[in-house]
Amino acid sequence: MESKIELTCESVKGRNDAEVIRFAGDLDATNVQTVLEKVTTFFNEGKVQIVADFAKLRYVNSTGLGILLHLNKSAKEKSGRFKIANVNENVFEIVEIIGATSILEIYDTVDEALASLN
Amino acid sequence: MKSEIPYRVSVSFPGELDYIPLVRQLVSDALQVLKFSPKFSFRSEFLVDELCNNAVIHGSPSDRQPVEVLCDAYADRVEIFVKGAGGYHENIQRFREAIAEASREKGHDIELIRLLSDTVTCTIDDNNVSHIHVVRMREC
Amino acid sequence: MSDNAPAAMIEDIPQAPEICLIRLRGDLDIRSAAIFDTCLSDASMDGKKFAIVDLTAVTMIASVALGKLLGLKRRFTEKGGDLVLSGINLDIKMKCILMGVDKIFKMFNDVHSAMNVYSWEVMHEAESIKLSFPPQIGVVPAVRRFVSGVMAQKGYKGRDSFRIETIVDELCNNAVEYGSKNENDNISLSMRIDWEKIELDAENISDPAKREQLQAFMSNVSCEMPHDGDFTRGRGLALVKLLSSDFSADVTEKGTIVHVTKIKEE
Repeated sequence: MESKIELTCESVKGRNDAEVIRFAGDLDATNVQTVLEKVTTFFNEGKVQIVADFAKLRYVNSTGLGILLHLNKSAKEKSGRFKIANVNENVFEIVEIIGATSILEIYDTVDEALASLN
Repeated sequence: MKSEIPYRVSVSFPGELDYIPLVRQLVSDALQVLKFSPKFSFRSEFLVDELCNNAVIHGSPSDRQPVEVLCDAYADRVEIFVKGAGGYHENIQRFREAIAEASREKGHDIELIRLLSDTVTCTIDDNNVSHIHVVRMREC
Repeated sequence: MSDNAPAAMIEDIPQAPEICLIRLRGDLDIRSAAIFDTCLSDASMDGKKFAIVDLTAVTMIASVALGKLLGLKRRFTEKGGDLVLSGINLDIKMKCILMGVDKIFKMFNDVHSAMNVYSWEVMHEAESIKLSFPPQIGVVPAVRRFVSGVMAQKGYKGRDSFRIETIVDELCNNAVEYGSKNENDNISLSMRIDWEKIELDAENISDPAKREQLQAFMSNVSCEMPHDGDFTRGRGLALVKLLSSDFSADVTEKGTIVHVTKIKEE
C-alpha cells in the first residue's frame, strides 16, 4: 500500500512553461514512482520550470530525496529548473544532513521561488 | 484445507490500551498490502481491536506480560491469534463460557467478535494466559 | 443488601509494592463514608506511596465521597506519592468535570493504563515492543506510522520523533532491498524505549545474492553522502548512522542485524 501523497497542480500566470505542484502527505519508497511519473509528464509537455510547494509535505526519506535530486537534474538537462518551497523544519534537516541543500534550490515561499524563475 | 504458508504480521506490546489503535491500524494496513479488500481489512481491524481490548482490560494489572497479536494471512482467510496479558482466572473462564454459549457477555462484546468471525476458540494455559484464535474467511 | 451497597476492596500489587489498588463499588453517598474511612485509612497506613482508586463498579458518587478522596490524596502526596482514579463512567466523569475534580485527580480509563503510566513516569521502566512483518515495501509505511505513534505516546516529540521515524523507515527499506525475497522470511523490528533513549534492532534474513555487496557496504558505511550516480541508492544507511547516537551492523550467513541507539535530545 502506497503512503498517501497528493499532488495538486497550478499553472503560473503568464508562463506556459511553468507549473506549481503542491505536495501533501509522505514521500517515500512506496510512492516515488507515482511522483516521478507525474512530474515527468509535465517535463514532456514542455513545462520544465517547476516549483514544488512542500507546505503540506510531512515526511520524506532518502528514496524520496533521491527522486527530488533526480528531478532537479532532469529539469536542468531540459534547460529548466525544479525548485522547492515551504520545506518544514524536519524535512529540511534531513535534506541538510544528506548534503542536498547545496544541490537543490530551496526557497522560503512559493512566490520567491517563482520570482527566481526569471 | 490449510496448505500454503501464510504471510505473517505479529506485534508484541505492553498491555496498555493506548497501544491498541496503533496495532489495529498496522494490521489493517498490512492486510491491504497483502491484497485484502479495505472492507475486509476494516473488519479484521475491528476484531483485533476487540480482542486486544479484552486482553488488556481483563488481564491482571499485577502481571506485566505483554499482549501478543499474530495475524496469518492465507489466500482464502485470515487467522488472528491474541495472547492475553495474564488474567484473572474468573474473567478468562467467563470469556470462554461466553464464546461457547454464543451469548453477549457484558464487557466482552463476544457477540460482535462472533458475528465478524467464522470460528472463535479460547484456551487458557497453566499461567492463566488466555489464547484467542479467530478465523475469518475472505469474502468471495 | 442492595446491589448498589457501597463496598471497598484493597489489593496489593506484588510487582509494585509501593502501590495499593482500591476497588470501590456501588453508590458512594453519605452512607458509604464510614466504609470509606476504615478501608482507605487502612490502605494509607500500609506504607504505600501511591494509590489507584478504581471506580469501574461505582454507580454513583456524591460530593462527600469525592471530598474523602481528596483528603486521602493529600495524605499520599504528602508522602511524595499520588492517588489517581481509574475506570470512571461517563456520568461520574461529567460530575467530576463540573466540580473541577478532573483538574485535581489524574484519571485513567482503567487500572492497566494507570499502572503503565506509573511504571513509565515514576519508575522509568523501559517498554519493549516487537514487530514482525513480510519483506514487502508496501508494509514499511505502516510500520513507520506505528513507530511514530508509539514515539508520540512515549513523549518523544518533534525532531526526536521524526528522526526515529526516519531511522526505522531507512532500516526497513534496506531490509526489504537487501533481504531475502522469500515472502515468508519476515523482517523483525525490536524496540526498547525508556525515558532517555530508544534502542532498535532490525533483523532480517539476507538475500544470498546480495550478501557480499551488503557486507562490503556495511563495513564502509560512512557519514559521507553519495551525490552522484543512481539516485535511489546509497543514502539510507549513511543517514541512519548520522541520525543515531550509536550504530552497529552484523552481516552473517544467517542474516543481518542492525542495532541503533537514539538518545532523546529534546
